[in-house]
Amino acid sequence: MSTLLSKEFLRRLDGISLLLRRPVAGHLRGQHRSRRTGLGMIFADYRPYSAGDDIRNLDWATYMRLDRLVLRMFEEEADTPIYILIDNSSSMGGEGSGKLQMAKKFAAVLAYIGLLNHDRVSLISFSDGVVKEMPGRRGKNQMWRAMHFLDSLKNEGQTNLVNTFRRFFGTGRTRGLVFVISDFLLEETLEDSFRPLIQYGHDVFAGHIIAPEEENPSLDGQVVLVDSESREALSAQVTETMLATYRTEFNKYRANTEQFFKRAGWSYVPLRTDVDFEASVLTALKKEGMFR
Amino acid sequence: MINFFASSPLFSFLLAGLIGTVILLYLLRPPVLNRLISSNIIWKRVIGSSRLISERWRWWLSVLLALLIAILLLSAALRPSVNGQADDRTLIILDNSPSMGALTQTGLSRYNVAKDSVMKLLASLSKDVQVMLVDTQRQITTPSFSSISDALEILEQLKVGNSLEPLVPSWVATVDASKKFIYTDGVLIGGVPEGFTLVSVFQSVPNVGITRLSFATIPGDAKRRQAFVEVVNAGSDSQLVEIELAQTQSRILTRRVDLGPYEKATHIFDATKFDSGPVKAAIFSNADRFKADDTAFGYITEKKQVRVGLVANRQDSKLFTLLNLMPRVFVSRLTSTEYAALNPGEMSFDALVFDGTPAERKPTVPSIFFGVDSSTWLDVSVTPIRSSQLAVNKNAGHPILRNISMSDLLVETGFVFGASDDVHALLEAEGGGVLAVAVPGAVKNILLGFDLDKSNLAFLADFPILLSNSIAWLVDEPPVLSVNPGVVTLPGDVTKIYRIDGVDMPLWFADGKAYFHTQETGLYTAFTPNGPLRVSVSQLDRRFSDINLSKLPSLESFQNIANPGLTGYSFSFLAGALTLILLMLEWYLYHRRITQ
Repeated sequence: MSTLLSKEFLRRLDGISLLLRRPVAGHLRGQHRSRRTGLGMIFADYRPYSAGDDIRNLDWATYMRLDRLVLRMFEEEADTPIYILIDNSSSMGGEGSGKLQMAKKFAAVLAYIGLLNHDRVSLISFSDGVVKEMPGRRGKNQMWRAMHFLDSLKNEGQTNLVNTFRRFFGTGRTRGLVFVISDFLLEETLEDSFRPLIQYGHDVFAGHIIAPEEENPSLDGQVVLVDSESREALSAQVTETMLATYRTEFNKYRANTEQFFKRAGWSYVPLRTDVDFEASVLTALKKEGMFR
Repeated sequence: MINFFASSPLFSFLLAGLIGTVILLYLLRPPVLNRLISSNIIWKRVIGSSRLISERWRWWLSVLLALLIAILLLSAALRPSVNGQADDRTLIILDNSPSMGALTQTGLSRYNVAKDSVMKLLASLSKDVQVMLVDTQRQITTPSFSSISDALEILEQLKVGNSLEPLVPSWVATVDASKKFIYTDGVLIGGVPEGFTLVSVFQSVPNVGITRLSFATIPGDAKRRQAFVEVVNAGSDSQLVEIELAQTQSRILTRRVDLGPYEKATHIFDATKFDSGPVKAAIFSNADRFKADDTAFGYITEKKQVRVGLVANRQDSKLFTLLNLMPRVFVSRLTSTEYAALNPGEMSFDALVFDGTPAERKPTVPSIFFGVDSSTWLDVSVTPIRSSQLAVNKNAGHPILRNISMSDLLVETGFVFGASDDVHALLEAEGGGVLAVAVPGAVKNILLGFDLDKSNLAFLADFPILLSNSIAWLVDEPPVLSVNPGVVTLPGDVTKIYRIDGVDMPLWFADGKAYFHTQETGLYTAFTPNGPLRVSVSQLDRRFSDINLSKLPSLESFQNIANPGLTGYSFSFLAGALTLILLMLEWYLYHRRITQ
């Protein structure tokens, strides 16, 4: 299928399903709570009976006690639109950083779980806009397509989340679970970038890809730092003091990023490229309450 | 705009050096490590926050230095200044008196050395500076402040003049100018005006020159004549000089003389073989550095031999005896009949003497008439006198009566002439009237109203001199007018003047006199109704030759003449030097850290 994930690891994912914090708005029946009431297992509410209602849902106990016909309503279980957005901008590349590879692996895990649970999985790669899209697919047998999509991703362009979200979600996408896998090295603030997702009411899960070289760069002396996306050159005389300042600033930046997602009620998972992915990802996801 | 490329060579050199230094620094710059990173967003914050106050100061200082360097370079290039201020005015007096024509050891004349120095000064000035150029020969008639380019044009037209009275106008002291320079050798102009920066081009150089040239007949032997040549050595070393007098290729006199330091000597040449006409004198010396006084021109006006025809009907003419005694006179006797039979076109006499013999027609050659009657061709009225008359007044200024006393002249009978503007009265009679007149013109005549037999003239001691003067006045040309080059004043009756090669010189007239201007030495011939007038233009003056009479110290080498425009350094030079210093400072403050 693909070299992204091992067969053993995929086997471990077979028994996992995604947990949503709030009901989804899928149209097809699935395994997630829906905002619509209908044929579900979880009691939702009562309503007066009207002609034509399914009499199997009449609450006979209430009729007997109050002589009123009321209908029991249940939350309908629906499929969940899962949008997996993978940042394939230039900043996700770099020599040996493995950031894009890590993003692909994480996206593959999410896609696999989603497809396994009959959710509608869409894969979108973005940089300064939507670069590539795999429209929503359902069923485990679509996994090969997802893997093929992920294998084809390459680094290109500058990151522009605002543009990406507006263009993609501005076309009336069904509300669902949005996975954003990126290094979140943005010119714009996170508030501005994720404002469209807040407006459309999506549930967001952020996968923050962190390379060790970004956290602790090995620089010394006079260097010209060239931005991989904008190609902007920044001349600097790097000293130990400056490196310490950089580390402080980077941690502050990472903490602010996590804080933003938490504050919005969303999930956030840091994914370090120097850590064994298969060993750590499930732990991290469970810690965030994403799996059951 | 950028005309600084045509500015001082020093500035160009400095600019080239700066450009070379910048290129060298660029080539020697340390290799900068380019690191491709995911994003420099965080680095921007880090660099922004980690920049210390000292680094900010250093950055601002670097910017300030760069700005200052740019401004200085621009200023040095454009050499800006404010128009109209005294700071922008420069007054330059350039001495172009004759002594400035002396050659220096470099081969250039003092004037050319001074001129080159002035040109360098002008080139070093800011382009907006106003310059007034004043010369000492008044070749610039109305000096005024003008642009540097105009001053250069004026400078190109200036030449070494010939006036021995160079003038530094007194008004230059009142000219409002920030800088005043005078370029001179200090020989003829004397002292340097107050407030002027002196640029001396004086250098003591060897010079020998002719200071006098004249010709004279030897007393007692009118057939021989001598030439007098005065030469002077104006240098501090002895000079071997060759003097040459030349009239034609076959008439050349030479002599070698040794002149001691500052010695003046008069040498007499036997110029008997020279006939009347132009003579050129020249001296030659190997070490001579001033050529203007090495040549002089003269003119021998006296004829070597005069053919005189004595028209007399009597055989015992005292005049024949006297004329025969005159050394340069070759006399022939004629009767009035023989004279009347002569064809005027075949007349082979230079002059005629009529001894009491009337002339039926006006002679075609100069003549002396003793005992004039009332001939019809005479233009003057005659009145007979019958009683004895004494000559009571004489025209002592006339050449004929030079060195003669006629106070004892007694005339028994004869004629007196009426006054006329066309004749020169020579002797006035006691009772009124004129006893003798000289008639000027192309053919001169001397008329005496009395016969030798009816007066005591032939018995007077001055009679031979009178006759000699009369023949000289009739035959010889008037004395040569020796002048210096420049504006030459001539008698008012001059109608034309030609150079010896036939070039017609322009004349102008004022106050009853004629003038012409020449810078060239040589011989000129002026024409008047009374005959030609020779004009010898030579620099025959000791002041011309004394080119080393200067109070200024003699410079050993003109290579070391300081350009006053660069003394204290020009603005461009200072700006360029300051730029270099600032570049070094900037390197020390900023780039040194990188290159270490």
